Amino acid sequence: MKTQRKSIFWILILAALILGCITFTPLVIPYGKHEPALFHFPYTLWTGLIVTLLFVLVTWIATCIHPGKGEDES
Amino acid sequence: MITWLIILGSLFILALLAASVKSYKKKRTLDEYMLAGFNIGPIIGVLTFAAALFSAFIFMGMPDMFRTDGVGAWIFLAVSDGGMVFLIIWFGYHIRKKVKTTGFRGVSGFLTGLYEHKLPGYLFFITAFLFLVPYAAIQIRGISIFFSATFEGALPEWSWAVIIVGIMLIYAEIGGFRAIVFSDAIQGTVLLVVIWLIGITCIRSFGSVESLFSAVERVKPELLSVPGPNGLFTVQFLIASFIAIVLIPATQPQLTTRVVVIRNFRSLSRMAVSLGIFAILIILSTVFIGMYGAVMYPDATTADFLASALLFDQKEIVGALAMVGLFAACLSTTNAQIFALGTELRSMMKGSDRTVLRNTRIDDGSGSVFGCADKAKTSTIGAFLFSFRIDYPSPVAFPYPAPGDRSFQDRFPALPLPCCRNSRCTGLEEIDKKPVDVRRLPDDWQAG
Repeated sequence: MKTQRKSIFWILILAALILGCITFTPLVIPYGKHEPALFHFPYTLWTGLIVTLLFVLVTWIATCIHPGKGEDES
Repeated sequence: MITWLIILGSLFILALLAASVKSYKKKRTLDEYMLAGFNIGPIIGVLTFAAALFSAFIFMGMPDMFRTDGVGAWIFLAVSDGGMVFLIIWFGYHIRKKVKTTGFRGVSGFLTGLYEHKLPGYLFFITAFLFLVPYAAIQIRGISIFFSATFEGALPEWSWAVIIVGIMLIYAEIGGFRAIVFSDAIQGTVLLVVIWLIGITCIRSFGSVESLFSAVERVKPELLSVPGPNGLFTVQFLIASFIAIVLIPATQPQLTTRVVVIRNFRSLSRMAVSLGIFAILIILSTVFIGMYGAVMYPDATTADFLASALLFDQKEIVGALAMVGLFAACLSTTNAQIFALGTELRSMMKGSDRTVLRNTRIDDGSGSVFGCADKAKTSTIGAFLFSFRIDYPSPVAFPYPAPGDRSFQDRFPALPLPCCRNSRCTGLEEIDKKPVDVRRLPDDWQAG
Protein backbone atom coordinates (compact mmCIF):
# COMPACT_ATOMS: atom_id res chain seq x y z
CA MET A 1 0.00 0.00 0.00
CA LYS A 2 2.78 2.38 1.00
CA THR A 3 4.76 1.52 -2.15
CA GLN A 4 1.71 2.20 -4.27
CA ARG A 5 1.24 5.56 -2.57
CA LYS A 6 4.88 6.35 -3.15
CA SER A 7 4.51 5.60 -6.87
CA ILE A 8 1.43 7.80 -7.14
CA PHE A 9 3.22 10.57 -5.27
CA TRP A 10 6.12 10.42 -7.72
CA ILE A 11 3.61 10.63 -10.59
CA LEU A 12 2.20 13.76 -8.96
CA ILE A 13 5.69 15.26 -8.67
CA LEU A 14 6.10 14.58 -12.37
CA ALA A 15 2.71 16.19 -13.04
CA ALA A 16 3.77 19.30 -11.09
CA LEU A 17 7.03 19.49 -13.06
CA ILE A 18 5.18 19.12 -16.37
CA LEU A 19 2.71 21.78 -15.28
CA GLY A 20 5.63 24.08 -14.48
CA CYS A 21 7.19 23.46 -17.89
CA ILE A 22 3.91 23.96 -19.78
CA THR A 23 3.51 27.35 -18.12
CA PHE A 24 6.48 28.73 -20.05
CA THR A 25 5.34 27.56 -23.47
CA PRO A 26 3.12 29.44 -25.95
CA LEU A 27 0.27 27.25 -24.74
CA VAL A 28 -0.03 29.50 -21.68
CA ILE A 29 1.98 32.59 -22.58
CA PRO A 30 1.72 33.23 -26.32
CA TYR A 31 3.60 36.45 -27.08
CA GLY A 32 1.38 39.39 -27.98
CA LYS A 33 -1.86 37.39 -28.07
CA HIS A 34 -4.84 37.86 -25.76
CA GLU A 35 -7.57 35.97 -27.61
CA PRO A 36 -9.58 33.79 -27.09
CA ALA A 37 -10.95 35.26 -23.89
CA LEU A 38 -12.82 33.22 -21.28
CA PHE A 39 -15.42 34.99 -19.16
CA HIS A 40 -13.87 38.20 -20.53
CA PHE A 41 -10.49 37.29 -19.04
CA PRO A 42 -7.60 37.65 -21.52
CA TYR A 43 -5.98 34.40 -22.68
CA THR A 44 -2.82 34.43 -20.55
CA LEU A 45 -4.80 35.37 -17.46
CA TRP A 46 -7.33 32.55 -17.67
CA THR A 47 -4.79 29.94 -18.72
CA GLY A 48 -2.54 31.13 -15.87
CA LEU A 49 -5.49 30.90 -13.49
CA ILE A 50 -6.17 27.32 -14.62
CA VAL A 51 -2.49 26.38 -14.19
CA THR A 52 -2.53 27.81 -10.65
CA LEU A 53 -5.73 25.91 -9.83
CA LEU A 54 -4.19 22.73 -11.24
CA PHE A 55 -1.14 23.22 -9.00
CA VAL A 56 -3.47 23.50 -6.00
CA LEU A 57 -5.41 20.42 -7.19
CA VAL A 58 -2.20 18.40 -7.61
CA THR A 59 -1.14 19.53 -4.12
CA TRP A 60 -4.49 18.46 -2.68
CA ILE A 61 -4.27 15.01 -4.31
CA ALA A 62 -0.68 14.76 -3.06
CA THR A 63 -1.84 15.43 0.50
CA CYS A 64 -4.47 12.69 0.21
CA ILE A 65 -2.16 9.95 -1.03
CA HIS A 66 1.12 11.09 0.54
CA PRO A 67 3.09 8.09 1.81
CA GLY A 68 3.77 9.91 5.08
CA LYS A 69 0.11 10.68 5.73
CA GLY A 70 -0.82 9.93 9.33
CA GLU A 71 2.79 9.33 10.37
CA ASP A 72 3.04 12.12 12.91
CA GLU A 73 -0.57 12.34 14.04
CA SER A 74 -0.70 12.81 17.78
CA MET B 1 -10.82 59.60 6.80
CA ILE B 2 -8.45 60.53 9.61
CA THR B 3 -11.18 59.76 12.16
CA TRP B 4 -11.75 56.33 10.65
CA LEU B 5 -8.03 55.76 10.51
CA ILE B 6 -7.65 56.53 14.21
CA ILE B 7 -10.61 54.27 15.13
CA LEU B 8 -9.56 51.34 12.95
CA GLY B 9 -5.87 51.76 13.74
CA SER B 10 -6.61 51.73 17.47
CA LEU B 11 -8.75 48.59 17.11
CA PHE B 12 -5.93 46.94 15.20
CA ILE B 13 -3.33 47.82 17.83
CA LEU B 14 -5.71 46.59 20.57
CA ALA B 15 -6.14 43.29 18.71
CA LEU B 16 -2.35 42.94 18.53
CA LEU B 17 -2.03 43.61 22.24
CA ALA B 18 -4.80 41.10 23.01
CA ALA B 19 -3.00 38.48 20.90
CA SER B 20 0.21 39.23 22.74
CA VAL B 21 -1.34 39.02 26.22
CA LYS B 22 -3.26 35.83 25.30
CA SER B 23 0.02 34.22 24.26
CA TYR B 24 1.86 35.21 27.42
CA LYS B 25 2.76 32.48 29.87
CA LYS B 26 5.01 33.07 32.83
CA LYS B 27 6.92 29.80 32.93
CA ARG B 28 7.30 28.86 29.32
CA THR B 29 9.97 26.75 27.76
CA LEU B 30 12.35 27.91 25.06
CA ASP B 31 10.40 26.00 22.41
CA GLU B 32 7.14 27.57 23.58
CA TYR B 33 8.61 31.05 23.37
CA MET B 34 10.53 30.74 20.11
CA LEU B 35 8.53 28.08 18.22
CA ALA B 36 5.04 28.15 19.76
CA GLY B 37 5.58 24.64 21.13
CA PHE B 38 5.38 23.14 17.59
CA ASN B 39 1.61 23.28 17.93
CA ILE B 40 0.16 25.56 15.25
CA GLY B 41 -3.10 24.42 13.65
CA PRO B 42 -3.96 24.64 9.93
CA ILE B 43 -6.14 27.78 10.00
CA ILE B 44 -3.73 29.89 12.01
CA GLY B 45 -0.95 28.22 10.03
CA VAL B 46 -2.21 29.38 6.65
CA LEU B 47 -2.84 32.91 7.90
CA THR B 48 0.60 33.26 9.50
CA PHE B 49 2.34 31.79 6.45
CA ALA B 50 0.38 34.10 4.14
CA ALA B 51 1.01 37.16 6.29
CA ALA B 52 4.74 36.43 6.44
CA LEU B 53 4.86 35.73 2.70
CA PHE B 54 2.71 38.53 1.32
CA SER B 55 4.41 41.76 2.24
CA ALA B 56 3.44 45.27 1.24
CA PHE B 57 4.44 44.19 -2.27
CA ILE B 58 1.14 42.39 -2.69
CA PHE B 59 -0.71 45.54 -1.70
CA MET B 60 1.23 47.99 -3.82
CA GLY B 61 3.72 46.22 -6.04
CA MET B 62 1.31 43.79 -7.65
CA PRO B 63 -1.41 46.30 -8.64
CA ASP B 64 1.29 48.52 -10.09
CA MET B 65 2.89 45.60 -11.90
CA PHE B 66 -0.44 44.69 -13.50
CA ARG B 67 -0.96 48.36 -14.40
CA THR B 68 2.42 48.87 -16.05
CA ASP B 69 3.45 45.39 -17.23
CA GLY B 70 0.15 43.61 -17.72
CA VAL B 71 -1.33 40.20 -17.02
CA GLY B 72 2.04 38.42 -17.18
CA ALA B 73 2.28 39.42 -13.51
CA TRP B 74 -0.13 36.56 -12.80
CA ILE B 75 2.37 34.05 -14.19
CA PHE B 76 5.14 35.81 -12.28
CA LEU B 77 3.50 35.45 -8.86
CA ALA B 78 0.33 33.35 -8.78
CA VAL B 79 1.59 30.43 -10.86
CA SER B 80 4.87 30.48 -8.93
CA ASP B 81 2.92 30.44 -5.65
CA GLY B 82 1.00 27.43 -7.00
CA GLY B 83 4.30 25.62 -7.50
CA MET B 84 5.41 26.73 -4.05
CA VAL B 85 2.43 25.13 -2.26
CA PHE B 86 3.33 21.82 -3.86
CA LEU B 87 6.89 22.21 -2.58
CA ILE B 88 5.56 22.85 0.93
CA ILE B 89 4.19 19.29 0.95
CA TRP B 90 7.21 17.71 -0.69
CA PHE B 91 9.91 19.57 1.20
CA GLY B 92 7.82 19.99 4.37
CA TYR B 93 7.40 16.26 4.84
CA HIS B 94 11.14 15.58 4.58
CA ILE B 95 12.29 18.43 6.83
CA ARG B 96 9.71 17.54 9.48
CA LYS B 97 10.79 13.90 9.37
CA LYS B 98 14.40 14.93 9.89
CA VAL B 99 13.51 17.40 12.64
CA LYS B 100 11.97 14.54 14.65
CA THR B 101 15.37 12.93 14.99
CA THR B 102 17.63 16.00 15.14
CA GLY B 103 15.40 18.55 16.89
CA PHE B 104 14.87 22.09 15.64
CA ARG B 105 15.87 25.44 17.02
CA GLY B 106 16.29 27.26 13.72
CA VAL B 107 17.42 26.49 10.19
CA SER B 108 21.08 27.45 10.78
CA GLY B 109 21.42 25.18 13.80
CA PHE B 110 19.51 22.47 11.99
CA LEU B 111 21.96 22.58 9.07
CA THR B 112 24.93 22.57 11.45
CA GLY B 113 23.59 19.43 13.11
CA LEU B 114 22.67 17.79 9.83
CA TYR B 115 26.10 18.20 8.23
CA GLU B 116 27.98 17.95 11.54
CA HIS B 117 29.90 21.02 10.50
CA LYS B 118 29.46 24.68 11.38
CA LEU B 119 30.01 26.02 7.87
CA PRO B 120 26.54 25.30 6.38
CA GLY B 121 24.90 26.84 9.46
CA TYR B 122 27.03 29.98 9.35
CA LEU B 123 26.57 30.28 5.58
CA PHE B 124 22.80 30.08 5.92
CA PHE B 125 22.77 32.52 8.81
CA ILE B 126 24.94 35.09 7.00
CA THR B 127 22.91 34.90 3.78
CA ALA B 128 19.63 35.12 5.73
CA PHE B 129 20.99 38.09 7.67
CA LEU B 130 22.21 39.86 4.52
CA PHE B 131 18.91 39.28 2.77
CA LEU B 132 16.47 39.92 5.60
CA VAL B 133 17.96 43.01 7.27
CA PRO B 134 17.63 45.25 4.18
CA TYR B 135 14.24 43.62 3.40
CA ALA B 136 12.94 44.44 6.90
CA ALA B 137 14.55 47.87 6.75
CA ILE B 138 12.79 48.74 3.51
CA GLN B 139 9.46 47.95 5.11
CA ILE B 140 10.17 49.90 8.30
CA ARG B 141 11.29 52.81 6.19
CA GLY B 142 8.21 52.45 3.97
CA ILE B 143 5.73 52.54 6.84
CA SER B 144 7.47 55.46 8.52
CA ILE B 145 7.37 57.51 5.29
CA PHE B 146 3.75 56.54 4.85
CA PHE B 147 2.75 57.67 8.34
CA SER B 148 4.87 60.76 8.11
CA ALA B 149 2.99 61.72 4.93
CA THR B 150 -0.40 60.83 6.40
CA PHE B 151 0.04 62.76 9.64
CA GLU B 152 2.06 65.50 8.04
CA GLY B 153 4.18 67.42 10.52
CA ALA B 154 3.02 65.44 13.56
CA LEU B 155 6.27 63.52 13.99
CA PRO B 156 9.50 63.17 12.02
CA GLU B 157 10.01 59.99 9.98
CA TRP B 158 12.53 58.52 12.41
CA SER B 159 10.02 58.80 15.25
CA TRP B 160 7.49 56.75 13.32
CA ALA B 161 10.18 54.14 12.71
CA VAL B 162 10.96 54.06 16.46
CA ILE B 163 7.26 53.63 17.30
CA ILE B 164 6.81 50.83 14.74
CA VAL B 165 9.91 48.95 15.88
CA GLY B 166 8.80 49.53 19.48
CA ILE B 167 5.36 47.99 18.83
CA MET B 168 6.95 44.99 17.15
CA LEU B 169 9.46 44.44 19.94
CA ILE B 170 6.91 44.82 22.73
CA TYR B 171 4.35 42.38 21.44
CA ALA B 172 6.98 39.87 20.32
CA GLU B 173 8.71 40.10 23.71
CA ILE B 174 5.50 39.59 25.65
CA GLY B 175 3.96 36.84 23.58
CA GLY B 176 6.88 35.30 21.70
CA PHE B 177 6.37 33.40 18.47
CA ARG B 178 2.79 32.52 19.37
CA ALA B 179 1.90 36.22 19.60
CA ILE B 180 3.47 36.82 16.20
CA VAL B 181 1.49 33.95 14.75
CA PHE B 182 -1.79 35.27 16.21
CA SER B 183 -1.06 38.79 15.04
CA ASP B 184 -0.20 37.39 11.59
CA ALA B 185 -3.62 35.75 11.55
CA ILE B 186 -5.27 39.10 12.28
CA GLN B 187 -3.12 40.83 9.67
CA GLY B 188 -3.70 38.15 7.02
CA THR B 189 -7.46 38.47 7.46
CA VAL B 190 -7.33 42.28 7.31
CA LEU B 191 -5.20 42.09 4.17
CA LEU B 192 -7.59 39.75 2.35
CA VAL B 193 -10.71 41.71 3.29
CA VAL B 194 -9.25 45.12 2.43
CA ILE B 195 -7.77 44.09 -0.89
CA TRP B 196 -11.11 42.64 -2.00
CA LEU B 197 -13.04 45.72 -0.88
CA ILE B 198 -10.74 47.81 -3.06
CA GLY B 199 -10.89 45.30 -5.92
CA ILE B 200 -14.70 45.29 -5.90
CA THR B 201 -14.78 49.11 -5.96
CA CYS B 202 -12.48 49.03 -8.99
CA ILE B 203 -14.74 46.55 -10.85
CA ARG B 204 -17.91 48.43 -9.91
CA SER B 205 -16.50 51.70 -11.19
CA PHE B 206 -16.58 50.13 -14.67
CA GLY B 207 -19.79 48.20 -14.15
CA SER B 208 -18.38 44.72 -14.81
CA VAL B 209 -15.21 42.71 -15.38
CA GLU B 210 -16.02 42.69 -19.11
CA SER B 211 -16.17 46.50 -19.27
CA LEU B 212 -12.95 46.74 -17.29
CA PHE B 213 -10.99 44.51 -19.69
CA SER B 214 -12.65 46.16 -22.73
CA ALA B 215 -11.46 49.54 -21.46
CA VAL B 216 -7.93 48.16 -20.98
CA GLU B 217 -8.01 46.78 -24.53
CA ARG B 218 -8.87 50.22 -25.87
CA VAL B 219 -6.26 52.03 -23.77
CA LYS B 220 -3.30 49.62 -23.98
CA PRO B 221 -3.94 46.16 -25.46
CA GLU B 222 -0.31 45.11 -24.83
CA LEU B 223 -1.22 44.83 -21.13
CA LEU B 224 -3.42 41.83 -21.88
CA SER B 225 -0.60 39.58 -23.07
CA VAL B 226 3.05 38.83 -22.40
CA PRO B 227 5.71 40.21 -22.47
CA GLY B 228 3.71 43.36 -21.67
CA PRO B 229 4.24 46.92 -22.89
CA ASN B 230 7.72 47.18 -21.35
CA GLY B 231 8.82 43.70 -22.41
CA LEU B 232 9.37 42.64 -18.79
CA PHE B 233 7.70 39.24 -18.79
CA THR B 234 10.01 37.30 -21.05
CA VAL B 235 10.22 33.52 -20.70
CA GLN B 236 13.66 33.88 -19.08
CA PHE B 237 12.36 36.33 -16.48
CA LEU B 238 9.34 34.18 -15.67
CA ILE B 239 11.39 30.97 -15.33
CA ALA B 240 13.95 32.69 -13.08
CA SER B 241 11.27 34.18 -10.83
CA PHE B 242 9.38 30.85 -10.77
CA ILE B 243 12.44 29.03 -9.43
CA ALA B 244 13.15 31.74 -6.85
CA ILE B 245 9.56 31.87 -5.58
CA VAL B 246 8.97 28.11 -5.53
CA LEU B 247 12.03 27.67 -3.31
CA ILE B 248 10.94 30.30 -0.76
CA PRO B 249 9.82 27.76 1.91
CA ALA B 250 13.35 26.30 1.82
CA THR B 251 15.34 29.51 1.53
CA GLN B 252 13.64 31.99 3.85
CA PRO B 253 13.98 30.97 7.51
CA GLN B 254 10.79 32.68 8.70
CA LEU B 255 8.79 30.48 6.30
CA THR B 256 10.80 27.28 6.85
CA THR B 257 10.11 27.73 10.56
CA ARG B 258 6.37 27.99 9.86
CA VAL B 259 6.50 24.72 7.94
CA VAL B 260 8.22 23.02 10.88
CA VAL B 261 6.06 24.37 13.72
CA ILE B 262 2.76 23.18 12.26
CA ARG B 263 1.16 20.64 14.60
CA ASN B 264 1.36 17.58 12.31
CA PHE B 265 1.56 16.59 8.66
CA ARG B 266 -2.21 16.57 8.30
CA SER B 267 -2.35 20.21 9.43
CA LEU B 268 0.53 21.04 7.08
CA SER B 269 -1.39 19.47 4.18
CA ARG B 270 -4.48 21.51 4.92
CA MET B 271 -2.36 24.61 5.34
CA ALA B 272 -0.65 24.13 1.96
CA VAL B 273 -3.89 23.67 0.01
CA SER B 274 -5.55 26.61 1.78
CA LEU B 275 -2.51 28.76 1.10
CA GLY B 276 -2.86 28.06 -2.63
CA ILE B 277 -6.48 29.21 -2.53
CA PHE B 278 -5.56 32.22 -0.39
CA ALA B 279 -2.87 33.23 -2.91
CA ILE B 280 -5.30 32.97 -5.85
CA LEU B 281 -7.90 35.07 -4.04
CA ILE B 282 -5.50 37.79 -2.96
CA ILE B 283 -3.66 38.09 -6.29
CA LEU B 284 -6.88 38.01 -8.31
CA SER B 285 -8.05 41.15 -6.61
CA THR B 286 -4.81 42.94 -7.49
CA VAL B 287 -5.50 42.17 -11.18
CA PHE B 288 -8.64 44.29 -11.01
CA ILE B 289 -6.92 47.11 -9.11
CA GLY B 290 -4.08 47.11 -11.64
CA MET B 291 -6.39 47.07 -14.67
CA TYR B 292 -8.42 49.87 -13.14
CA GLY B 293 -5.20 51.86 -12.77
CA ALA B 294 -4.21 51.09 -16.37
CA VAL B 295 -7.34 52.87 -17.58
CA MET B 296 -7.72 55.60 -14.98
CA TYR B 297 -4.08 56.45 -14.33
CA PRO B 298 -2.10 55.14 -17.29
CA ASP B 299 0.71 57.68 -17.05
CA ALA B 300 0.71 58.39 -13.33
CA THR B 301 3.72 57.58 -11.18
CA THR B 302 3.50 54.55 -8.90
CA ALA B 303 2.94 56.73 -5.86
CA ASP B 304 0.23 58.80 -7.58
CA PHE B 305 -1.58 55.68 -8.77
CA LEU B 306 -1.47 53.98 -5.38
CA ALA B 307 -2.59 57.06 -3.51
CA SER B 308 -5.54 57.44 -5.84
CA ALA B 309 -6.60 53.83 -6.30
CA LEU B 310 -6.11 52.68 -2.72
CA LEU B 311 -7.16 55.80 -0.83
CA PHE B 312 -8.80 58.67 -2.65
CA ASP B 313 -11.04 56.64 -4.97
CA GLN B 314 -12.39 54.58 -2.09
CA LYS B 315 -15.05 55.32 0.48
CA GLU B 316 -13.39 56.89 3.48
CA ILE B 317 -13.78 53.82 5.69
CA VAL B 318 -12.25 51.62 2.97
CA GLY B 319 -9.42 54.12 2.48
CA ALA B 320 -8.74 54.05 6.21
CA LEU B 321 -8.91 50.24 6.19
CA ALA B 322 -6.46 50.24 3.28
CA MET B 323 -3.99 52.20 5.37
CA VAL B 324 -4.44 49.79 8.27
CA GLY B 325 -4.10 46.87 5.83
CA LEU B 326 -0.91 48.32 4.42
CA PHE B 327 0.47 48.81 7.91
CA ALA B 328 -0.57 45.24 8.73
CA ALA B 329 1.16 43.85 5.63
CA CYS B 330 4.42 45.64 6.40
CA LEU B 331 4.27 44.84 10.10
CA SER B 332 3.56 41.12 9.75
CA THR B 333 6.31 40.54 7.21
CA THR B 334 8.84 42.62 9.10
CA ASN B 335 8.23 41.08 12.50
CA ALA B 336 8.32 37.58 10.99
CA GLN B 337 11.70 38.39 9.44
CA ILE B 338 13.18 39.98 12.54
CA PHE B 339 11.95 37.23 14.85
CA ALA B 340 13.31 34.63 12.41
CA LEU B 341 16.74 36.24 12.59
CA GLY B 342 16.58 35.99 16.39
CA THR B 343 15.59 32.33 16.06
CA GLU B 344 18.47 31.69 13.65
CA LEU B 345 20.94 33.32 16.01
CA ARG B 346 19.59 31.31 18.90
CA SER B 347 19.95 28.08 16.94
CA MET B 348 23.68 28.77 16.60
CA MET B 349 24.14 29.41 20.33
CA LYS B 350 25.16 26.89 22.92
CA GLY B 351 24.10 26.71 26.55
CA SER B 352 21.06 25.90 28.62
CA ASP B 353 17.58 26.90 27.47
CA ARG B 354 17.51 29.54 30.19
CA THR B 355 20.79 31.13 29.07
CA VAL B 356 19.87 31.07 25.40
CA LEU B 357 16.43 32.50 26.11
CA ARG B 358 17.94 35.27 28.20
CA ASN B 359 20.36 36.15 25.42
CA THR B 360 17.80 36.17 22.64
CA ARG B 361 15.07 38.26 24.13
CA ILE B 362 14.55 41.20 26.39
CA ASP B 363 14.66 39.88 29.92
CA ASP B 364 11.47 40.10 31.99
CA GLY B 365 12.53 42.83 34.34
CA SER B 366 15.91 41.57 35.41
CA GLY B 367 17.67 44.63 34.23
CA SER B 368 18.64 43.89 30.66
CA VAL B 369 15.71 45.58 28.99
CA PHE B 370 18.02 47.91 27.18
CA GLY B 371 21.13 45.81 27.61
CA CYS B 372 23.52 45.50 24.72
CA ALA B 373 23.99 41.85 25.58
CA ASP B 374 20.69 40.99 23.95
CA LYS B 375 22.21 39.74 20.76
CA ALA B 376 18.97 39.04 18.93
CA LYS B 377 18.09 42.67 19.13
CA THR B 378 21.09 43.38 16.93
CA SER B 379 19.07 42.32 13.91
CA THR B 380 16.18 44.58 14.91
CA ILE B 381 18.46 47.50 15.60
CA GLY B 382 20.39 46.70 12.42
CA ALA B 383 17.18 46.79 10.38
CA PHE B 384 16.12 49.97 12.14
CA LEU B 385 19.43 51.74 11.48
CA PHE B 386 19.63 50.39 7.97
CA SER B 387 16.22 51.87 7.24
CA PHE B 388 17.76 55.33 7.55
CA ARG B 389 20.48 54.48 5.07
CA ILE B 390 17.94 53.82 2.36
CA ASP B 391 17.27 56.78 0.18
CA TYR B 392 14.69 55.91 -2.41
CA PRO B 393 11.34 57.17 -3.56
CA SER B 394 9.29 54.74 -1.49
CA PRO B 395 6.25 53.34 -3.23
CA VAL B 396 4.26 53.94 -0.08
CA ALA B 397 5.03 57.62 0.02
CA PHE B 398 1.99 59.01 -1.65
CA PRO B 399 1.94 62.53 -2.98
CA TYR B 400 -0.63 64.40 -1.07
CA PRO B 401 -1.77 67.31 -3.22
CA ALA B 402 -1.17 70.66 -1.63
CA PRO B 403 -4.16 72.97 -1.43
CA GLY B 404 -4.34 74.80 -4.73
CA ASP B 405 -1.98 72.38 -6.52
CA ARG B 406 -3.23 72.76 -10.07
CA SER B 407 -0.71 70.32 -11.51
CA PHE B 408 -2.31 67.57 -9.43
CA GLN B 409 -5.70 68.39 -10.88
CA ASP B 410 -4.26 68.36 -14.40
CA ARG B 411 -2.90 64.89 -13.83
CA PHE B 412 -6.00 63.56 -12.11
CA PRO B 413 -9.07 65.33 -13.43
CA ALA B 414 -11.27 62.72 -11.77
CA LEU B 415 -10.05 63.69 -8.33
CA PRO B 416 -11.21 66.71 -6.36
CA LEU B 417 -8.61 69.24 -5.35
CA PRO B 418 -8.35 70.05 -1.66
CA CYS B 419 -8.78 73.69 -0.93
CA CYS B 420 -8.13 74.15 2.77
CA ARG B 421 -7.76 77.52 4.31
CA ASN B 422 -6.66 76.24 7.69
CA SER B 423 -2.88 75.94 7.84
CA ARG B 424 -3.13 72.78 9.98
CA CYS B 425 -5.51 71.11 7.59
CA THR B 426 -4.11 68.02 5.86
CA GLY B 427 -6.51 68.29 2.97
CA LEU B 428 -8.25 65.03 3.75
CA GLU B 429 -11.21 66.83 5.27
CA GLU B 430 -12.07 68.52 1.99
CA ILE B 431 -11.78 65.28 0.08
CA ASP B 432 -14.08 63.67 2.59
CA LYS B 433 -16.74 66.23 1.77
CA LYS B 434 -16.52 65.67 -1.98
CA PRO B 435 -17.25 62.09 -3.00
CA VAL B 436 -15.06 61.07 -5.91
CA ASP B 437 -16.76 60.00 -9.08
CA VAL B 438 -14.58 57.07 -10.02
CA ARG B 439 -16.68 56.36 -13.08
CA ARG B 440 -15.30 59.42 -14.79
CA LEU B 441 -12.42 58.43 -17.04
CA PRO B 442 -9.51 60.69 -17.88
CA ASP B 443 -10.34 62.84 -20.93
CA ASP B 444 -7.74 61.21 -23.13
CA TRP B 445 -8.31 57.58 -22.22
CA GLN B 446 -9.63 56.64 -25.65
CA ALA B 447 -6.58 58.00 -27.42
CA GLY B 448 -4.59 55.08 -25.89
